[in-house]
Amino acid sequence: MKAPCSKSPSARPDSDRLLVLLLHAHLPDCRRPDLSRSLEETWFFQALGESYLPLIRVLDRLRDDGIPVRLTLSLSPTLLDQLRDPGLAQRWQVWLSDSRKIALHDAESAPASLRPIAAWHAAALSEIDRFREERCLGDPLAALLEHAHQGRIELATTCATHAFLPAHQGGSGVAETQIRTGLASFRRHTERCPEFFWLPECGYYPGLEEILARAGIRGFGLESHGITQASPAPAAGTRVPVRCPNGVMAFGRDTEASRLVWSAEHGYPGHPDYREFHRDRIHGLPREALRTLIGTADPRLPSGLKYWRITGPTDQKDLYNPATAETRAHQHAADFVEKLFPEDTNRSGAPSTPEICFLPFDAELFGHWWFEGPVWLESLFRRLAENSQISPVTASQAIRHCSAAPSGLPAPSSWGAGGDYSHWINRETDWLYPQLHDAELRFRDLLNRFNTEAASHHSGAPKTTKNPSPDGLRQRALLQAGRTLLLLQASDWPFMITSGTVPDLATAHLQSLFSRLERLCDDLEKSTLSPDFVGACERADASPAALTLDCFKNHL
Amino acid sequence: MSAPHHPDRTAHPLPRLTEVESAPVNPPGSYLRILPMDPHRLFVYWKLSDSFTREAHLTVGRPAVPDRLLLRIFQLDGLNSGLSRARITETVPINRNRRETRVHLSHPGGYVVATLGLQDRQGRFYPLVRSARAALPEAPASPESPTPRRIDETAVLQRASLTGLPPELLRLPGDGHAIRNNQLHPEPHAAVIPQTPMLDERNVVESALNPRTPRPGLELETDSPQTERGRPAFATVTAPSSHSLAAGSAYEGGAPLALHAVLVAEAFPVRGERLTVAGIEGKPDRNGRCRWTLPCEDFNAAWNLLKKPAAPANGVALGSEPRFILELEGIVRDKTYLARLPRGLEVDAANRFRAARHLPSDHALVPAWSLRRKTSSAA
Repeated sequence: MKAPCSKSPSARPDSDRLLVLLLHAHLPDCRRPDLSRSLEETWFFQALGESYLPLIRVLDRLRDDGIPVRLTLSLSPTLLDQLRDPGLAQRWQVWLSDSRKIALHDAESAPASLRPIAAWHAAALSEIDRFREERCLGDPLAALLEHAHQGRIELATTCATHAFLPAHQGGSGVAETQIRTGLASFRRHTERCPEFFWLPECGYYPGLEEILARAGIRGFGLESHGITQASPAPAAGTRVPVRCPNGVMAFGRDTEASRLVWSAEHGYPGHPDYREFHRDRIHGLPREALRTLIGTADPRLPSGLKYWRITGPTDQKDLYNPATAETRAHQHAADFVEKLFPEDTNRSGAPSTPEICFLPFDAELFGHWWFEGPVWLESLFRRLAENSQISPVTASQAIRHCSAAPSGLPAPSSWGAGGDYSHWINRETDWLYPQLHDAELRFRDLLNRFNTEAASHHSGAPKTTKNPSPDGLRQRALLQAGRTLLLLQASDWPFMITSGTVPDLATAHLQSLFSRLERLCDDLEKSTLSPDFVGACERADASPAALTLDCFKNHL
Repeated sequence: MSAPHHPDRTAHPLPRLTEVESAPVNPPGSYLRILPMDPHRLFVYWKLSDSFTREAHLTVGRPAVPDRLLLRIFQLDGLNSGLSRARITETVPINRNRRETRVHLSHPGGYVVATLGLQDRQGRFYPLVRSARAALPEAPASPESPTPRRIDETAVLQRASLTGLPPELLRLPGDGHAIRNNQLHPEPHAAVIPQTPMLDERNVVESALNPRTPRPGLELETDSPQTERGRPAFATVTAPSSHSLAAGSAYEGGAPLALHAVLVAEAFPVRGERLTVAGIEGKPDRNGRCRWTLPCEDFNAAWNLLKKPAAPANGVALGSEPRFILELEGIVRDKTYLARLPRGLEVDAANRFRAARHLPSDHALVPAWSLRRKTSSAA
């Protein structure tokens, strides 16, 4: 039986300065069950081992020491599906084992200077593996839910496949489908109803708050200028949320506090003592050694073994010293608390509302990108526990404490470069949208055509067994077409194309999705469905698992 | 099987009004969508079914330009303001081969809605399809981008040269001065026929990207016509100017580029047509679009190319060619260079800049000296 929608505890804060720290954990559906090794899956492996599990460990330690924690954690539906995928968990073990073999080999055979840090990495990998098996019992999500039940963290979620919603404004129904399916996925995994919703990439356009309100959402976050350029603009800037005309609360990212972490030039993660993200040991190993150790040298996928520290803006890197880096992280946490609420904040616009510092970050920043991030987080909460001026609160607590927030309509914005939509809609990515829209229309036509069957069909996870009934197969194919359509709307692939990180991979991924969707639609139209092909599509594109055809009704 | 000549007109009667609200949003098999990219730019794409277009032609009769559609952009005051109060701000001629375009707005921000339609020989506009309204994103307030985008006179020229344009386009957007009072181009209408043989814009792109003269670091483009492959072309010559920008691919001591820019040309070739820009043959993508993204080795030449006036090609030379979009964009990585950017080139809060122009199929870039000569003779 599902638990009723839970409300976060609304403990009265000790001060009128509230820190709303939100970590948004998200990965696109990067499963490649058809490959024994793939770059996409290493994104998940690294994030799990370096960010998600260390975060649970931080929460455990803070709980054990009686340190109060109020943290909002947004978990995307695609990540939730992957956290609960047993096949992916098995492949994680293989990847972890390969990395450990390399580290152990280095600890014995590498140049003497590398051996201590290699041994340290080998021990760390063993420890995180043990933590997942023994503490989390193989289910990290269950451990997070445990902390959520105890009020330490508040769970939130986002769109079904992390669609950049401004690219779908204009009444096509995509935004509503994405939001409702995202919430359904979240409920399926957590048996909870979130009050706060993470807009993918902070992408907002006026009118979105209406869809959120219809879905039961009471608050969402924005990039700073979404609030500072709201209409009317609040006098206190982002230090108070804005209440939309329909009552939904919008929080603006605090620019100054974010900059302490995010700034490429001066942010904490760029300190020379911290571990260098970009130099992976695997690129320095001879091919023969790799073949001997892990059986293959192609492709050279990230191992997560990074023995060097940032050192400086050149290729010359010194060896990483974990103790020094940890000390630096504690210093940076202290510095952060000190600078969090400058004394000269203008709060004339809302004197009766607590002063808010809304700080959203990618959860993967802490651990994966910034290796010492979890230490910093833990240190931050320990220092806040000793600080009588600042109270950490969750997002829904902040909503309750800011009931007197000024009214306004936030400005269209995103947290992409330039604050506009061009990181997702630009010359390199715009080819995607006409094709996507045509596919949406085609799917809608198919849905209408098979409406009678769709209305009576409720499906949970994709079924991989062959269904002998033609109608059943058709429903599976229709549902899978809808799932593929949602996956095509993910913000991640255009982001990768624009950022130039792995543009070819992102383009190829989109094209393969289009290809499968086209074949599914063709086969549906011509009644030439193949159970094998439908099953293959279900295995290849399995998220969002909670999708039903009902999610599309009245929305497209 | 050929299509019927007399489709059922009662099914989807075409509006004869010019008001935006009269256009259907999603007529059968057709749509028009606008995706805001940034405060100044829209990505617009559409689909018009054959039967719908055929019916439109029956209603309109022979359009002013048979192979051309008009895309009109309207701006709205607010999220809920009525369409009847929409103000037309842009009219962009569209070649029928296209299914998408980008529109650079004269005024940033706010809400927009678009229509796509035909124009009859009396200048009346028949909207075929209307988009949903969309909100333009706002860039963070920044001292670097305090002013709205300036009027691009070449764009005005381009619009004004259309036959039988709606009256609102005979005025400069925003300032109310009739285009005939524009001191820079006193007679920008079709009377301004270039005195030289028509230029192929592809050659101009090539000449801008591959300057003939080695550059010692300071350059200016002049309008001296030179013979290139039997045609006049623009040449880049060295000049002692202190206003030039160093844009290129060279890193100095590992430092980031002071300025990075690319020039992009796009076109939708008709079926079977092969287009070459800067020596590179375009390969149409799945949307039928050819695109050339070219590192901008000579920023000034590229900038001047974008700012050059366009004029009607008098129905010759380029009449059958598709339309090009030229865009120059980049980022200023060293803020000290901001003050040295050309006038009219705006930089946003992230120090990015963009400039663009659309070249209709029957327009060509013409040397400024030609226009000047015409101007002086007219004076």
